[in-house]
Amino acid sequence: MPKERIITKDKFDELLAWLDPDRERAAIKYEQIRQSLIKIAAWRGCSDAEGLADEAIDRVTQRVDELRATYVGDPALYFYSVSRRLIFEHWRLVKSQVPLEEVGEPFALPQEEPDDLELEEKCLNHCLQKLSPENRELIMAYYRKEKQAKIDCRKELAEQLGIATNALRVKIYRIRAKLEICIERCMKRAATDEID
Amino acid sequence: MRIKEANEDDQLIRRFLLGDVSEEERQRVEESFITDSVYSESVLMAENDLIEDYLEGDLPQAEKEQFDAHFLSTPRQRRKVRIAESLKKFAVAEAAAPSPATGEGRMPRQPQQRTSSNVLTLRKPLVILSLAAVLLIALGLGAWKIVGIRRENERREQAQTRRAAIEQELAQLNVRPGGTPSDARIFSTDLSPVVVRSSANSGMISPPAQTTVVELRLVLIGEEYQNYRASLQKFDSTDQFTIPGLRAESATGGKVVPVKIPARLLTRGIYQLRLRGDNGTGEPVEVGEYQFQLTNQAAR
Repeated sequence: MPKERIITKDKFDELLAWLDPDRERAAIKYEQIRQSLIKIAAWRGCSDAEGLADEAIDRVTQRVDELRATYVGDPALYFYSVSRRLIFEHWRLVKSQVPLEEVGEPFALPQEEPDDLELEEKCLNHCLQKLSPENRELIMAYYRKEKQAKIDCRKELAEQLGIATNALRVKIYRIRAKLEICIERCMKRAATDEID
Repeated sequence: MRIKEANEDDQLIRRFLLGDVSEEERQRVEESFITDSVYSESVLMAENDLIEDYLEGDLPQAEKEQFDAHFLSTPRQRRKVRIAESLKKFAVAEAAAPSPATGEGRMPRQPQQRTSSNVLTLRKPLVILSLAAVLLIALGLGAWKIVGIRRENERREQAQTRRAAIEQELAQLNVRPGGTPSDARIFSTDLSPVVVRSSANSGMISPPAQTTVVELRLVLIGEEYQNYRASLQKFDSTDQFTIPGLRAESATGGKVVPVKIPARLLTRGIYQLRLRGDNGTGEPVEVGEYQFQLTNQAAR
């Protein structure tokens, strides 16, 4: 269940100042750290990865005065250490609440609702339309084949663009990352709004 | 030496994503992931590659099991895989649709070169600015409507193209001799018409993850026809796909009409199949209604 967050504006400003003196760069760094914490929690099997990441950020923010004065090193590592402790706590709690014979399968989560699946498709469609025509065509061409045909097709695509196949892979990764952010936002917005 | 290190790193990342690492290794990957943006990108790209291998059935059995048990353990990760799968489906369907101009599959177009327009050198900037503003507003209002209509038309065209590509694929699989690839992994099950189904046979199916084709053997009751036509529709969806030219065949205890569907086109949910017979008069005759529910994660 999402927890009510208690960060004041002053504290948040202080947190950003700790991350980088330039506010814009600090905001980017903040978002990178948050997304990384979410990914790490998800890879560690936490179903509420976002909640755990936010909790870690909240805890760090509460101590930001002290950290600014004493902490030496990359702030991202401090966020990570707090998040890691929280993940351990989370699993200790899960194991203490579940009968022993079920501990081995903490992954028996409820299946996704059909509504969510439909919305995902809608959002994917919507976000594909939001890509530039070049990027949309490129990603469609990149994923249209499988197995050996896929390798040949990607080589051909890279040649056509005048770049190496690995550079094409990076390009596609970046388009996909944009697409996934768009889908996430679209799904959040859809909880209260219509897809535009 | 550097290549060797890179390969070891790639292997560590893959094992990390599959949950096959010690706590110490995990921490090492995670720390680099959160502090090093280049490393972070390489982990995320490896994740995309891993998902692709999984969707194409290219993972060795042990890795597939790790993927199912570890990688797919959270809703967020499952969504990532579903999105990747949908993206591939979109891309395949779009490629199958011939380009109107050439009749060939589509290739991405090169970014258009920008041409500089002629710049008018007028002497009264204020008048020009006012005129430009009026023109822009008028153009904006017109463009707003045009863009809206065009978008709607594009959406409709895309849906039609996608449906046509899917129906073509279904027809090829069911009607054309040799339409089923020799290496297809077929999951086959009998399906009784809705009116005679007992609770023991509720139409729930769970094809194994490696399935490439789901074959539904529609049990026939009553009169037999030379040809059949089935229409497939997912519950709560308006999309309907028609498969013509089906034929009955003998089975234990009666006749069945086999209908083959590429597993990757099916996602979890309830589907309805209506079977019609062709009695030679051109008027199709209702034969039966069949339902099935795909209960596992999307079949592959």
